[in-house]
Amino acid sequence: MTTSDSISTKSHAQHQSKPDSTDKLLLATPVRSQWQIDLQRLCRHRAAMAGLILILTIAVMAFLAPWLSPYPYRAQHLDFIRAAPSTQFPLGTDSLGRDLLSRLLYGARIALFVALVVVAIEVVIGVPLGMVAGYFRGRLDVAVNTLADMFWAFPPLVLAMGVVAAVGPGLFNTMVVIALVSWVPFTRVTRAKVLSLRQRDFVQASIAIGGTHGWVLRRHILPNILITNLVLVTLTLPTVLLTVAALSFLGFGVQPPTPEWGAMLSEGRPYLQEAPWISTFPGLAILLTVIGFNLLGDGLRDVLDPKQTW
Amino acid sequence: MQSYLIQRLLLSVPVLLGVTAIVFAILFLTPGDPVRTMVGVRATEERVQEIRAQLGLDRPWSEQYVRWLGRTLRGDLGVSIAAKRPVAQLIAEQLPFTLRLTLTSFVIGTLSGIALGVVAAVKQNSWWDHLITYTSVFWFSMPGFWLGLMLILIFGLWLRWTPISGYRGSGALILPALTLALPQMGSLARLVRTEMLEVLREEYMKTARAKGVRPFLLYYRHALRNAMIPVAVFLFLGVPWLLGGTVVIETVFGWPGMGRLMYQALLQKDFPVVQGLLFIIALSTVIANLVGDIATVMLDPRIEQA
Repeated sequence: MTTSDSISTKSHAQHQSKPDSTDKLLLATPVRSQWQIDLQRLCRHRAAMAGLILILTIAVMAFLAPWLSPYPYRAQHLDFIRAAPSTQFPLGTDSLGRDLLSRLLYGARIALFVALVVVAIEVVIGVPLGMVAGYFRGRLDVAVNTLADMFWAFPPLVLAMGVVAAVGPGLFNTMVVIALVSWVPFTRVTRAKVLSLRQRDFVQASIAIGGTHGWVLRRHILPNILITNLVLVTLTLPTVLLTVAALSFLGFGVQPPTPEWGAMLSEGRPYLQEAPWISTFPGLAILLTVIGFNLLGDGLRDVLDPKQTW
Repeated sequence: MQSYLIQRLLLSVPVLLGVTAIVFAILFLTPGDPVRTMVGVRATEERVQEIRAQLGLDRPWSEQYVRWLGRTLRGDLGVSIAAKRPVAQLIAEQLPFTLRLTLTSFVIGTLSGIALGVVAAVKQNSWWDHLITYTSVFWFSMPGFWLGLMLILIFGLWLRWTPISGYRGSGALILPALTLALPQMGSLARLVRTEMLEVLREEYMKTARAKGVRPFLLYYRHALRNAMIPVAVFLFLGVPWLLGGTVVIETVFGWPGMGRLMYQALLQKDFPVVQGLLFIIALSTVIANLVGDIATVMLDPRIEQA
């Protein structure tokens, strides 16, 4: 059993057939791997590229926050409480006289960090559950499905609010709680994919020649569910961003003075009329980040996994 | 069919039990004494004992769960700590407001979403299609609380067309309903577009076109109807989640309803109310899933075999 089995039957092999090897020799065309083909298709996908550029811009700004921000994000300028946007404070200041631009830049760090950690936890919980459910089926499958239905009976935001109210707010609790209440899509999607993979010849063959369950799962199933889950990760990030921001907006998530976008937006609420910029800009930042991930995720799905419909 | 129904019904029993276990467990996640957390540090020792006895917290937790489950399933959701009134009564009072808001937004979101999705699919790859597709992404990427605040700012504070909060008159309903409806419109338009495109490629559409069915009938009777099964299921399953969305929107607009009740109960750590609301929402999701699955099988018998 070699790995070439699983490569040749990769889920996205359906797009284009490669020219066979004699053609390559004769025409001296460069060999293009599936990766290169996909990459090229992605580069031609205008919406995906727009999303990617948006995300990269935000990520770079988050990374360079200490150098880009005009002031320390905690510095209070007491003569400039709720000052309107100006050359001195490009996006204005909040009700404690802190520069909004600096806080937004640091907020990007928190938003991306929290979203990535939450999705990573969701993958770690959801994907193995989906794999064993789809592979072993039977009672295990029923048990996993029941567990998934249980957690998916609550809108994640509402359940997260309930749990955070009990265990207390804060950055760490927010991340863990949101991940614990919203891993279900990873299980569902992985399970469906594994169910169909299990019927495929290369998996059946591997089982027939005596491959152990662990071997088949690792060697044949896992490589073939990576793409689907990569797309799902990209499409889950925006949902997580929105949930974190909503939770913090309501006061149950990341707490001030941490420059979290949802919490900043909430701080500006009482001054909506006199100082609308305090609430407007953090919301705009959330919106742009979410749009970026959604565009990129849709594009990735179109290119890598066209048969998925979720 | 019958065996599927029975199997499906049986499967929702453990789900429902698990849901009640999650709701019940929330109380025990509080570090320290849950009763102290609820009543605050200044409450008298008698009050603490009273509530502890009222919640049955002086007994082992397995017994507590069984008792709690028994009365919850009978419809007794307990008594609110803050309001000192039955939780079921509190919820029943708020329900009409939430229903008025969610139904209005549901109608706006559904009609506009379907209309936009159909136009985008029929005029695929046109300027209209691109416009609708990109604006859908814009709308469903929208943080609801921010959209609400921006609508208040523009229409309530600057233009002064609508009241900025409260629930009296139809004017007060417009902004919160739009805030809930627009993101729903976005995701629905996208779904309808995908499903319509699928149907438009079918052979029977070619046949209908060939025999000269007028475009309007072609798209509405032949195409949209067939595209509606997954759309209807999506809409139906989304209803409990719409209730979740009201927590944020009702809080932003000061709209009375289940969402704001939830928010206030959480602030006051009024756990009987929180548990009651969570239970109702989860119960409605489980029922919606059940009905949705059964309806799908009845509408499309091919699915049962899968």
